[in-house]
Amino acid sequence: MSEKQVSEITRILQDWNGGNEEAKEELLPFVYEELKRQARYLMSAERKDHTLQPTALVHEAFLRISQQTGIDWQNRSHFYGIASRLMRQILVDHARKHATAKRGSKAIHFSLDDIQIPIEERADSLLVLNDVLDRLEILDEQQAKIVEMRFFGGMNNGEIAENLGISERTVGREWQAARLWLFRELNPG
Amino acid sequence: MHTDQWKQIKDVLAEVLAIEPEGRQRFLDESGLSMDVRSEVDSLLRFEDESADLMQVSAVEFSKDFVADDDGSLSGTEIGPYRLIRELGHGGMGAVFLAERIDGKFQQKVALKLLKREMNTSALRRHFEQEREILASLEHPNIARLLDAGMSDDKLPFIAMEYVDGLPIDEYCETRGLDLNARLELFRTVCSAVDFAHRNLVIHRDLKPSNVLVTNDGVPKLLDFGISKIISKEYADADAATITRMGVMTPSYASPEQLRREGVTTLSDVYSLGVVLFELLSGHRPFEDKENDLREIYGAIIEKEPPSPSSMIATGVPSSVVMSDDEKGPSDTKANIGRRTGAAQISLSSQSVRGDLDNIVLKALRKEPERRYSSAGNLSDDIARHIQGLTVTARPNTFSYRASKFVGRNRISVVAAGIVLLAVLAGIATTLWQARVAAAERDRARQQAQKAERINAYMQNILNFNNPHWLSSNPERNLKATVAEAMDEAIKRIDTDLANEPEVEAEILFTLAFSFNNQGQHAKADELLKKSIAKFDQALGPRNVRSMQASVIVADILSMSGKYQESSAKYETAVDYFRTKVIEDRTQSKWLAIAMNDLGSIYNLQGRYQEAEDITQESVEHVMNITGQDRYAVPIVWANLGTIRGDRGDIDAGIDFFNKALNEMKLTGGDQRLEGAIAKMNLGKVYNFKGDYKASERSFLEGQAILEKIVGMDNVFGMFMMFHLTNSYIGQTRYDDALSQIERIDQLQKELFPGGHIVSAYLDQVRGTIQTRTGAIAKGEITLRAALDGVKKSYKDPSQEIALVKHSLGENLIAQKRFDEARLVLTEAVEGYVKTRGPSHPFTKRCDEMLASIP
Repeated sequence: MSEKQVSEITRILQDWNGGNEEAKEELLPFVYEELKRQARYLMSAERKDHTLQPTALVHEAFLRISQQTGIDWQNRSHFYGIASRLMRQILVDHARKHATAKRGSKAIHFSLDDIQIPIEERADSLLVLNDVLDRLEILDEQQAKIVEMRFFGGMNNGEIAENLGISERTVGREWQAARLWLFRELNPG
Repeated sequence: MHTDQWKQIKDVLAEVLAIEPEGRQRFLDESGLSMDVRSEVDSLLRFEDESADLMQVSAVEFSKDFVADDDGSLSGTEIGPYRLIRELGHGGMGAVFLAERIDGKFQQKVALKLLKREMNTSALRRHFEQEREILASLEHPNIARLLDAGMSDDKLPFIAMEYVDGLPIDEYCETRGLDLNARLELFRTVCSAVDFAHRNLVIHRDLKPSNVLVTNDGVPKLLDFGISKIISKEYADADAATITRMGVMTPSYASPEQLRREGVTTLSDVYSLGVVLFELLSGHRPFEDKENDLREIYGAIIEKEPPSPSSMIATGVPSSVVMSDDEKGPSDTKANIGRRTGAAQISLSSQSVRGDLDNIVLKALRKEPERRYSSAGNLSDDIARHIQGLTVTARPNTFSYRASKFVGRNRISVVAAGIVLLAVLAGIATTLWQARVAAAERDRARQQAQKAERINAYMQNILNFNNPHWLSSNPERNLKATVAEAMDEAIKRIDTDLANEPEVEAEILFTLAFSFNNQGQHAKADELLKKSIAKFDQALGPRNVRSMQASVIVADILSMSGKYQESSAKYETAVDYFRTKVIEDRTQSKWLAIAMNDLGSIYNLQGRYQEAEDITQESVEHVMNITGQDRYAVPIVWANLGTIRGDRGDIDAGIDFFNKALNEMKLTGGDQRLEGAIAKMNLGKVYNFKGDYKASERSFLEGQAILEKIVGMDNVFGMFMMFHLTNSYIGQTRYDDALSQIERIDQLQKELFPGGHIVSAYLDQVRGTIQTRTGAIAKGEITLRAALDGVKKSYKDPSQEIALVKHSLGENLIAQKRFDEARLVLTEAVEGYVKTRGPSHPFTKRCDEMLASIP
């Protein structure tokens, strides 16, 4: 990250802390770039440890940004929320390039077992999930966010609860319902 | 399914999932659910087991294979009817791709700008939309055209623009080896495109070489209105967003106001054009060496004066030290083909750029938008004038510009410099006590310290920037000359420099006037003061405090030039004004006191002793209202009262006032300042009246020592000091000493007052007296008659001066034994003395005795 960007991020964060919500939007490209960079590094072949958690990614991105800007940023949970959304976009972008345009031919659980299926199928699945999540967002915005944070942001129920300002129990309940709905939508027929 | 229905469903799901499976059916049956809800719940519950491991793995883990081997390129992707070929560049909001049409309608390559997915928010879409509208409105041969716009399948907005296959303008100039005129003409074409955009109410806001591509045919095309702005209220909201997006601007080409996040206008584009021209001419950017540090480059653009392009040709760092692509960051968009790769081979000579072109570039680069060219068209026109060999409108940077920059950069040191400057001016020219009152007044009354700084900085500039030699190891004598030259220079320029700041100009003129006044250049001072008054009137309205204060100084000059009538009239006006003014503003007491005191002195000189004494006495009352550091004025007024008493023949009271004044002055150091010297002089005069010439000589010499220390003797004060000392010598019959003094004075008065001064009549009077007493009697008569003519020109009877000359003439006539004539002249002299100095004045008495001695 160039010094220009660092200082720009500092300013945006300050703006945001100062209550300017628009600043959040300005932050997106920087966080996006950082996450992408982190993702590439963490997923690179040189890295032996392949047990990846998006939270690690996000944490590291956050740490880098906050260390470089020397800012004590209060809106951590905001950041993770944004980061989850951005991770989704990053991964979907990547998936798009590997997709086959034959979507939804196989049931997808997004479980550890699924990691063995071919890249193209996984890419297709991710795009399907993306569409399904878009629909869930229309139906129930909060639920869609919970799913996004959980799956793309790797956040646990406690972190999600903090971010959304709801109880952990509610997060659990919402996830249960969303899980059923998502599964059905992902596996039509 | 509706949102509210879903809410009901998920509530039911939450309850039912909490129940053991065997009890669920019954629970649902008893819940009284609608058919829709019930069937939906049943449908979802079927997946309970299957969905248990849904999303057990994270998305990152799930996607890692296809992320890791990915270069992030969207090449090959289809967007609307286009297929992306390769990325041309990307900015904060979007990326630009070379793309081709795939619907077979026509073969065309386009530059396709795509909003980044993560940027696909409503605000940024609006922004993107705005760019499309802007482009649609700009049909110009030198602006890349809008071809198409739309939305990709996954709802990413895109804009298809004319693809310009060309080089950034700087690279083009280098690779084609364009000569100076070709570069200028090319740049003028760019100006015309920018001007066209401006006239269509569009500001580009990100002009830089990579946004100006030149085709193989040599046609420049303006690209990327990505952060441009439409000058219209309609877009105010969208604009607020774009302004906060300033971060995407490339700082090297951004104007100071853009970096300060202030209002961006068409003049910001003029600035950026200036940077581009700078680069085309010199191969460097003005603050290239600062570009590695964001803070430095910001600071430099906002505050630092750019070097001239020609100086960079000679001294600039090699342009191969341009930033790497990485450092350019995400803001640097679309160098269309081959990026800037290596050192620019500058073929232009520094000489061909020096002068006009330097001035033109620097005018475009002014920090203050209003000081730049008022349009891209005007910039272009000035270049055209240069090409045609005509006089350009751009001038080298002015004082005020540099001064304000200087202030901005060195706030503290300017204050220090200001103090030094004042000290220098004091050393050269001293300060009249009025001057110091004025300075103190100015500092206080001027609420904006900024204005003070501006004035100081301007003064600093006059001395520093313009005269590099004056601080050299030069002998002191040159110092004065150089400073005087600097001030002359300042006066020549001030109207231009400060055209928009009449008040600041007035203040500076005022200050300069003091300085000239104190150097004895009264005519110059007078001229400046009158100009200053006009400017004050212009800025503050007629009869304002400052112009009245200035008019007090004008009156002072008039009195020093011996124009007592005009002077007293001016003082009277000022006294009237300040008498009223002090009621509302007690701080004006000092000006009332000054005016009254000075008026008293004039009345005294005019022989209007009673009025003189009255008004001086009143001045004492007002001077007592002066508080703080201006209290130094109090003993000055006492000393003046001493003068008046002495002139009236009340010698002892006069001497008492002087002693009181001088003691008081010691408390504030005033005894070593000008007022101390003047008090010593006037005290000496009283001793002369008394006939105590030893005491008077001592007093004059003490006064002279002070003057020599603070201002030297080559001024009006030194002149009078020497004149009165001459009388001491005459009183002591030291005629040789007296004559050499007279020679000095005569020479000085011719220097100081080429138009003549009353002192020449006084000199005739003392010269004639010496002639009388040294045996050159006939010569003496001629000299004294000349003196009489001289004083009669300036004074009307009754007058102490006329009386004095008649007194001397009477002495001469007695020496010639022309007693009748002597009696007549001396009788008139006594009459004059009685009317002016009063019957008990020593002069009256001595004259009367002389008259009585005639056989």
